[in-house]
Amino acid sequence: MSSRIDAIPQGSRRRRPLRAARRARLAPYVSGAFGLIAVGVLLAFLYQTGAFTTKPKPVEEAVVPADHVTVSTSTITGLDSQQRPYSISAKTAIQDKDEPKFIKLNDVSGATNRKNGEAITFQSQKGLYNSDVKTLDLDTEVVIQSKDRFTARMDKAHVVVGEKRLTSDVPVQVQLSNGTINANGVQITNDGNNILFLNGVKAHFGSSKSQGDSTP
Amino acid sequence: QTVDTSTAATESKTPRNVDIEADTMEILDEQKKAIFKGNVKAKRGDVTLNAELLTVTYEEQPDPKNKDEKKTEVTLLDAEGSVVIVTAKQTVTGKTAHMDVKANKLWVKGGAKVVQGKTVMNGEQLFVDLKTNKSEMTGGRVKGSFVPGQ
Repeated sequence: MSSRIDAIPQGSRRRRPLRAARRARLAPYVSGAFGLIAVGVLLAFLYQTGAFTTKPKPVEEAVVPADHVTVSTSTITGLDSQQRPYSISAKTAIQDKDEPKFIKLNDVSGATNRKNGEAITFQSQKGLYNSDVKTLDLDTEVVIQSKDRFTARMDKAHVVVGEKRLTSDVPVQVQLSNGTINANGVQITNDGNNILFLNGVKAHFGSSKSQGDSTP
Repeated sequence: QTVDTSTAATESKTPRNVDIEADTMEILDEQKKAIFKGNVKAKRGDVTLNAELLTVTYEEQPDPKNKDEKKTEVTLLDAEGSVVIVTAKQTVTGKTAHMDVKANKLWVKGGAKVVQGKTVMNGEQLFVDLKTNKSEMTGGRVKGSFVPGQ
C-alpha cells in the first residue's frame, strides 16, 4: 500500500520540512501580530464608544431667570415716517417677560438718516426700547452725531425713532464745526432740522471777522 | 447828524470769538437761522448787544481748506426788544437793530438813541456804515445835546 507521501514528488518532499521549519519560526510572530491587531481593533472600538474621552464637564444649565429672555448682539430695524431705514443695535438685550414690550439694552448704538441722506447716529451705555410705541430711552454717556453738523453729549435722551424726534431735559454739550453750545435741555424735531436748546444757553463761536462771522 | 462810530468799525473788522447767552436757542437748519430768545447777551470783543430776541442768519459754503467740511458764515443779525449796543465809547439803544454782516452796515430803529459821554442824540433811525465809519441819525426831529469837553 503506498502512503500518501510516496505520491509527493521527490523535490518537494525535501523542501517541505524546510518550509515547515520556517513556518514554525514565523508562527509566534504571526500570532503576535494577530494578537496586536485584535487588541487594536478592540481599542478602536472602545475609543469609538467614547471610553477614553474625558467626560466634558456638564454644561451648566443656562439658568435664564424665569422672567427674562436675553439675546446678545441684537439689532432692531424699521422704517421711519419717511420710509427711511433705522437700526438700533445692542451688545445684549433683555426682554422683560412680564412686560414683553420693554427691552433693556446694553451698549446701545443706532443710526437713521435725514431726508437729505445725512446720517444721524446715536449711542449710549444703556437703553430701554418700547417696541409698542417704538421709543427708545437712552441712558449714560449718550452721544448724538449728525454728520458734518454737530456732536451732542448728554446723560439721558428720549428718542421717538420713527419720527427722528429727540428730547432731553438734562445738561447737554454740543460741539459744532466752529463753536460749542451748552444748554440744560434739547429738542430735535422736523427731521433733525429744528434743534431747540432750552433752560439757559451759552453759545461760543470761533474767532470771526464781521466779514463772514462764524455762527452755527 | 453824524455820530463817531470808529470804535465799533474797528471792532467789527478784528477777528473775534462770539459768545451768546440766552434762555433758549433754536437752530432752524432749513432756513439757516439760529434764534436766541430771552435775556439775550451777545459779546464780541469790546462790543456787547443785549436784546429780547436775536436772529442770526447764516450760510454754509464748502470750506476752501477742507472740501469735506462746510464753513458757516453769518450774513445777517436781527435783534428785537430793548436793544442795547455798547461799544468802548458809546451806548446805542432802540427797539430793533439789523446788521448786514457782509456789508458791515448797521441800522437801529424805533427811537434810536446814542449816548457818548455827556453827548446824547435821539432820532427815529440810526444808520452806521462800519466800513467807512459813516453814520447817520435820521427820521423825525433829530435832537442832540452836546457838552463841550472841559
